[in-house]
Amino acid sequence: MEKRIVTFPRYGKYTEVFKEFFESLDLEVKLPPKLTDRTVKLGAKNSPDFACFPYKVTLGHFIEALEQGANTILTFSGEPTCRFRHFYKTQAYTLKRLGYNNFELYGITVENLVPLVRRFMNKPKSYIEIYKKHLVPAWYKLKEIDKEKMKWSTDKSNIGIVGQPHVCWEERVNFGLEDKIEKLGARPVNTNTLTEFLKERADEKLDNSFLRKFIKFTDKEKWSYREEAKKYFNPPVGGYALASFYNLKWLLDKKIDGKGIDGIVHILPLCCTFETLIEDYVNGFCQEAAVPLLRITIDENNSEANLDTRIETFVKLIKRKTRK
Amino acid sequence: MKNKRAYLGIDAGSVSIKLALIDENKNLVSSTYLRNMGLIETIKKGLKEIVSNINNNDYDIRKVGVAGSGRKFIGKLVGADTIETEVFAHYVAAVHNYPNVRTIMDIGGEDSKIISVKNGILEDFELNAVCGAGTGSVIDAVAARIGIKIEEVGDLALQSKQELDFPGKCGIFAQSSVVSRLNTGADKSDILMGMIRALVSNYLTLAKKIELKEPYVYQGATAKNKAIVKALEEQLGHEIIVPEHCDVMGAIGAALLAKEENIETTKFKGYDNLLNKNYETRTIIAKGCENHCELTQIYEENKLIGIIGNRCEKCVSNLENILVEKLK
Repeated sequence: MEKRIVTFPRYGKYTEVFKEFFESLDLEVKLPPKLTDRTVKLGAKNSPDFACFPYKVTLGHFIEALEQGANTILTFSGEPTCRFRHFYKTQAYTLKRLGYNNFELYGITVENLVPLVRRFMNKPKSYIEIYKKHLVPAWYKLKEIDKEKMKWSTDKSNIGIVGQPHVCWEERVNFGLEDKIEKLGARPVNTNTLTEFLKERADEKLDNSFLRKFIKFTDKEKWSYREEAKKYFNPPVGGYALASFYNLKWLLDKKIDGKGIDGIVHILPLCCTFETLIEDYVNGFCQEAAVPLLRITIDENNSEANLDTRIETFVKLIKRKTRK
Repeated sequence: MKNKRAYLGIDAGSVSIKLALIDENKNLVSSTYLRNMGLIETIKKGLKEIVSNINNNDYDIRKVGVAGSGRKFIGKLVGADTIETEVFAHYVAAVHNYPNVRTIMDIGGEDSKIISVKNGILEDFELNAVCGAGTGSVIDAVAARIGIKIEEVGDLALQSKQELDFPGKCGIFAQSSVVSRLNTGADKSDILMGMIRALVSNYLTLAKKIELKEPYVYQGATAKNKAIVKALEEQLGHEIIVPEHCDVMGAIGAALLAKEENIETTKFKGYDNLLNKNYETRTIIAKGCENHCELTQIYEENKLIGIIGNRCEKCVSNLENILVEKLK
């Protein structure tokens, strides 16, 4: 390969942090264009019909990135996510069948990220240097973003968001869910954060002692919810269902200044096995806690008008309810 | 002399457009229900009808409220004081008429909803997601397929003597099984009733996260179809209330919401303006950013009065600036 041009799917606000990280290591990065109808169409056309939306979107991103000259694609993988960990293999196969030959596609995990990046560099920096000077600052940037996502409001209605990571992160996929809630005058509390996602992964299997120091579950309160949730899923459930489950429980119990959560949005890709599995739990827990619930399923047939109506009504319902 | 105050509500749905006029005491003065044959035309026609129903000189429209999927467009077109979702409009109208209502049901043309109310407060709601299965358009399609007018479906279906099973989820599959039933000589009334039962059971699966409690109020134009009411009563095991003006409840709700609104002067353009001026739309694809929004511009006598479809303000303010410059 003449010169590596790295690309990866867009993951909402995190995209810029990844880009900066790779660029700080002197790697050339070419982001796929922001998600448009074309991206979705390209992805849907070349994916199995009932593949989930994240599969289609990431494939669409890859095609558009390759068109723009990228040749090294990185995407999330690694245990114990859902089928997502196999996506990069089938997607690479599809791309080859579409006639793209000059590219490499890697599934990245917490563990293989740094060794992989070193392989891309002409003069590889030492592990310690990459960890200390590049990875740790990036980690703190991610934490900063997530702190903002998780912030509760003291005067506005708080609406908790639980669900599958990709649809929770990427604003183009969820039609700007958080912005919409914010514009309608409520506060979105997005519990699905990348740092917690990585901690989830790291907790299961991470031998690297340096990384372990950073990427571990330190939130004791949530830890207890997580342990409690595990009782519901034995053997382990996979996907992000465990996290959605304990985040929901945590949201419903949480009180700040005696004020609890005012509403829950459960967002998932259509046919998502794991989020569908917990649907009844989500319905039941919200009903028991008398907290209104809005479920949004995302796929390429969504119309924004329908979604607008649902979100607008939902937020107004909550605002009226809390006023009385 | 226009001495009576009135409030206009417009519910601009995907299949039909409803207009309702209420007076100071929240009583319905006049209403109309029209098939949506293009929003601008239909609104003009609706206004004409609503005026011809009453003595125009008596009433002075003080406020206007709009609802429905076309609410943003219509809001700009007529100059609305309140723009609310149809869920809210239906809820407000139902609670106004039936303060004790617990469950409000609406099977619309392309969407269907279930709304749960407790002590007069909107508790929860569910709208069909993803596709139009289990909505009124399925009946429309099947009725057209077997050559029956939509208004006659209810009475004919009630004559059914035999229960037939149909798939209720997908309108296309439903139609093909209608064809195969027709080919084996099934009675049209049995086919229609079977279809309606399938549609209703599919509709009620919407309510998985909502507790269904009586009293039930069923509104929307499909409530005029007695066969659907019967199927709902069968499956819920309880009597259902159908309001007298079930087809225009959304518009009544929009009018009630407008009346509640605390404003000094209305933005309403007035009958005469709306009926006599020329309105048209132009659609362009914005190029300002990667969003490529489809912008619909609304023109009144060749003057831009509003833009809808924008996700941010960038191109919209540009367009308006360009326009202002041209006018100078």
